[in-house]
Amino acid sequence: MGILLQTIINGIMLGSIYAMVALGLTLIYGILNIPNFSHGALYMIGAYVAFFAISSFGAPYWLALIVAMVILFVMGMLVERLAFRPLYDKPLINSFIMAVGLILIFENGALAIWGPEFRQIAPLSDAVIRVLGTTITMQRVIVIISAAVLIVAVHLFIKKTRLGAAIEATSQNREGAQLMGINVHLMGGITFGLGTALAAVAATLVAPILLIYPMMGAPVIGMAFVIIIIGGMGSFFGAVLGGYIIGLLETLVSSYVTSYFTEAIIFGLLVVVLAIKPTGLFGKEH
Amino acid sequence: MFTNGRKKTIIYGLLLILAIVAPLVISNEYNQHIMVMCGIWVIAALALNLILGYAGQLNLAHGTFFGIGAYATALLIQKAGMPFWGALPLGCIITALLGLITGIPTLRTKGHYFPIATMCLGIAIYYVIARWDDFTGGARGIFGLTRPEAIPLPFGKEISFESTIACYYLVLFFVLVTIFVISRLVGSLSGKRLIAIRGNEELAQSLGINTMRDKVICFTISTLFAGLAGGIFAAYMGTLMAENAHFLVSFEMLLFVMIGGVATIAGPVIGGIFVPILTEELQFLGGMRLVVFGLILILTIRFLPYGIVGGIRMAMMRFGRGGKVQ
Repeated sequence: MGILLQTIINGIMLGSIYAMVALGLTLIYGILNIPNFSHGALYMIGAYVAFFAISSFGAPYWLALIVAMVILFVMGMLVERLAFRPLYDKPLINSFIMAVGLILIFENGALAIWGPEFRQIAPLSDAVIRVLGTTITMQRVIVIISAAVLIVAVHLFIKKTRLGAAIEATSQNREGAQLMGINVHLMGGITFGLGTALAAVAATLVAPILLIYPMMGAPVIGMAFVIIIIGGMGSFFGAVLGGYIIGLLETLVSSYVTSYFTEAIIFGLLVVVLAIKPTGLFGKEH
Repeated sequence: MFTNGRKKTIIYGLLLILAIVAPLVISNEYNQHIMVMCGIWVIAALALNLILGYAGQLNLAHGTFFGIGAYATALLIQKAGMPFWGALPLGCIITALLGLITGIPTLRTKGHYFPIATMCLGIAIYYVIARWDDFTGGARGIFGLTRPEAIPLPFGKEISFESTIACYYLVLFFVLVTIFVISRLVGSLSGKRLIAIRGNEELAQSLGINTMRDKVICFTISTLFAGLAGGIFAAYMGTLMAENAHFLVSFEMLLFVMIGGVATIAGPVIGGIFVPILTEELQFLGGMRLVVFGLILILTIRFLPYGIVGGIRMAMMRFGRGGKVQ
């Protein structure tokens, strides 16, 4: 019972991270119609920004989190403006290749500048909670709660603010939004920044538990794509729900079935899902 | 003056002679090794270009199929005790069969879903290879493969593949086979159907093209040649690691195709030769090398979407020599 509970908590924690990364990815997809493969690399940079804010500038954890968020927001806007916007009316494949180029630059740049060694941020709290004969670290609870708060905040931002409404309008109908006087390019930039900032927060939150290294984005981005395909690309709730489901599935499979082939099973499962329904489980036909 | 066709034949003939005499002039063993590797990448890049350039489907598992071909050939030699000359074709067939089996579900997806589906496929297969210790050697990989067996000739002579230069000619032979098969395929009616699918799949379908069948055939052939490149790679290198089947390998091949020039036969050949040589020349950059490649890729896609070949064609148009730009 204790082990099961611990596994579930770990699953929800991992799911929180996945949900945030997938949410950013799906928001960007909704507006710009590009699957941003470089999202995982930006996630990694977010973690490094927070790490250096703490280790080089002595910033407290929460401040580092905000710094990472702001810097990655700006970086996301820049990536959108400089890399993806010029390709907007070009064939789809050009955007994919652009993303591949960005991955090469970010990941190998990180490797060259910061080296391959693993780094870690000290957890915000070392406290341990004892429940049902098992122990849960406080940091895990912090991740779960912060992620939930943030996801709700993003939802409220989109549904309740004028800017959020403009973003939603742009993702629903680009031309229509433009006719209503919405600056669709600006919305694209803001959304790209917002999605990237979400990834940075996810990376910073999980950094005390998992480690920081140049390729840390690769496993997460793969999973995030699995999630948004299952949840329907561009769907807010699909990404969040899918994130928690995949996070739980991954921890349960690796604890109770096989820790060796967890990734193979999950990624293989996605191929099976697509074989049955080529537009994803909850995706709309197009 | 010569006609356009004659001129082309002469240029290709000269290039072929150049390829044949090159290793005789370049006697440095290390440079010869680079040339063998270029040949292997050219085969893989030509194969990727078939599905990407002509059918318009970005297969991000291409590097994985390269790895499957390498592992299949190596395991057939090592575990089944087959000679290289039996293991290589069988390895290619196994790769193509896996391509067929995985191509049918993934090619049903359209637009954004296909690269993502193939990326996931590539990750799944990579983890199987990297973790299945008993079968593939897991993270340790495969060691001690022997070079291809010598081909016996009459009068007690033989072609041995112990030297790098002999391996170069072996690879050159397969490069020529690949160029021949793929250019025939692209020039045929099915090649035109593929281009129609790339342009607009719904429209192609409404014209009575069985788009799914054409895409699956194209994908299978593409994986067959990826497997060929992998099989040669395995026998030539003698060692294999799971990293050889990593999906990042697909990115490298994408680099060859895009920088050389997508949707042309010359493009992947130029890219597969130019990029690895540039990689060697940029050794001094150390870790920043791949960053530079990322920049080159980005600038290419932004300003020269048809790569070096596209750039040459554009220049020829501008100076009135009658090239064609796509």
